[in-house]
Amino acid sequence: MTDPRPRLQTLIFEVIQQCNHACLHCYNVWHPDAKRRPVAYPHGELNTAGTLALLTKALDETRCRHVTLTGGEPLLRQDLPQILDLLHERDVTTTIISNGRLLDEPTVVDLLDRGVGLFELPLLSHRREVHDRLSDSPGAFDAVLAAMAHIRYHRGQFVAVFVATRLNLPDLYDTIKLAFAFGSRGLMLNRFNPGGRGRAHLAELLPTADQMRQALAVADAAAAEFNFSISCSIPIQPCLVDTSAYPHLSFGFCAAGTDRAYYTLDALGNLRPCNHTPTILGNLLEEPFSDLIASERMAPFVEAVPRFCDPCALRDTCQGGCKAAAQVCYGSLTAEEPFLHRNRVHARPLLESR
Amino acid sequence: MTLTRRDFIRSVSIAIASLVMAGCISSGGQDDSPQGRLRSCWLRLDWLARQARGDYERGEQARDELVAEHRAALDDLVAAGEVDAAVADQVQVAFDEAAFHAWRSNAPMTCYMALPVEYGGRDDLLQQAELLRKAASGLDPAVVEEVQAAIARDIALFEAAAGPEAGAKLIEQFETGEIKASPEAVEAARILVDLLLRRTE
Repeated sequence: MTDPRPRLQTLIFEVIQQCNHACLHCYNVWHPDAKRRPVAYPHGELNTAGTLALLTKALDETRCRHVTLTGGEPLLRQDLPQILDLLHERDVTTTIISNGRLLDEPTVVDLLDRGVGLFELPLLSHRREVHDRLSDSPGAFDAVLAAMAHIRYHRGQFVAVFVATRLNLPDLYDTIKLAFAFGSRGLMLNRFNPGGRGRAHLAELLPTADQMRQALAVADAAAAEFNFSISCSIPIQPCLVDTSAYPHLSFGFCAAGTDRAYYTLDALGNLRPCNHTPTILGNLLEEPFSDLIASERMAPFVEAVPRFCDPCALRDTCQGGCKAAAQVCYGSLTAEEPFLHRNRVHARPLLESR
Repeated sequence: MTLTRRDFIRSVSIAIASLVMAGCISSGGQDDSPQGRLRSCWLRLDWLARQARGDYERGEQARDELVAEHRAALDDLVAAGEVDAAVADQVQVAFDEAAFHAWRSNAPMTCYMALPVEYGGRDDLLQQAELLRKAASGLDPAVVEEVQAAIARDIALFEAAAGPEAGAKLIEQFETGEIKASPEAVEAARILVDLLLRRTE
């Protein structure tokens, strides 16, 4: 008999909202808006028993074999070991997204023993001052390299994340080399996607389409040179950048509403379509998972595409990029997200027939 | 750090999957017995890899199909009294892991899913060591030393694995408890080696 529970490739669990860094590009939805006014997003977290019950319910009601723990900074959560033990017992593989600051050697060994399969760690530049500036945290660069060294030494796996901004794009090649030298399993080349605190730094950080093209060329050559996996998961609109010109890179588009969706559970049990949107589908403590992601509830998010994209042959694939960024920056899921909005005058006309 | 009980069967399965996908295990012809169907599932991991390339859903479907076929063949073996149920569960765990590995290594990457486990070869390690040497001047020497030690260890592992003592070393690690595994997992590994590697000899 077919298992009726929804199948999830991954569930993102924001275990804590607190963070010990203040990255300029941070997209966490609970941060103040561009004018630094507080947002209405619920704050707080469940206690340990409540959190374990919440996670158990999520795993019971879905077919999910991978959970990504993020925050805030998940290492700030005192009961992280218990959360990991639960996931290990349920045979769920785990990724931790961390800034690396608290990943000292004993902690790394403990987390690996508890089954953490992958760490996603930022490497924003090969230059200390650039990484620290983007993290708004002195010492961030040395801390994350130390974390990478510990993970490598203890046979764990990590992937470096490079958030592409105007400030660090010139450093991309040397940063890839450094990530490779430290034993990173790959690089996530994520263009800056404004949201959260990042909205206040939009003009300072958002690269142009031309800058992204140059960066992708650099990354493509480096991927070939080092036989190194590089993926670009934040959507890059094909009308702005011809991604087929970079055969050694992989590109992704918004997966909301599919079984590849990044459904995001916050520390209070609120479920969202992805981690970039503040849209709350409902609370998992109050409703079944399948009801929360029912198509009628997801439709406003899934179907939203900017009018600009209507004539495009790739409308349904690209969906205009990141609709969550449009939502948090311009107040509407159907607005043109910042990367498209700021570069659309250079959009390629070849996609006009549908 | 030593391997955990769970890691043992995962390591065995990924090693076998890698051999299959590298074309190192011959098909041996049509065999509709439960053993033959079991073997066929493993030998189709390269097909799964091809299905997964560039198409997430197609790969997922193929993985589901293979995992179900594998379980069905195992159930027949258990029903016939040829394999203990607990051992069969371990064989299935091994196949689940192998299929996941084959799929994940080929399906398009996404931001929040574990990356393919791509173990770098000796040349990769030498290249890493060289790049690290060039980058080291501005970095914390203790951190650089730790990475250098890891690289040197991994190079030594590669060299040892290629040497005549490799098998004996693994057995020694198992006997001294460095590699932990339940009796069911060891039996499952034996079955898989027998099923897939013996016929290749």
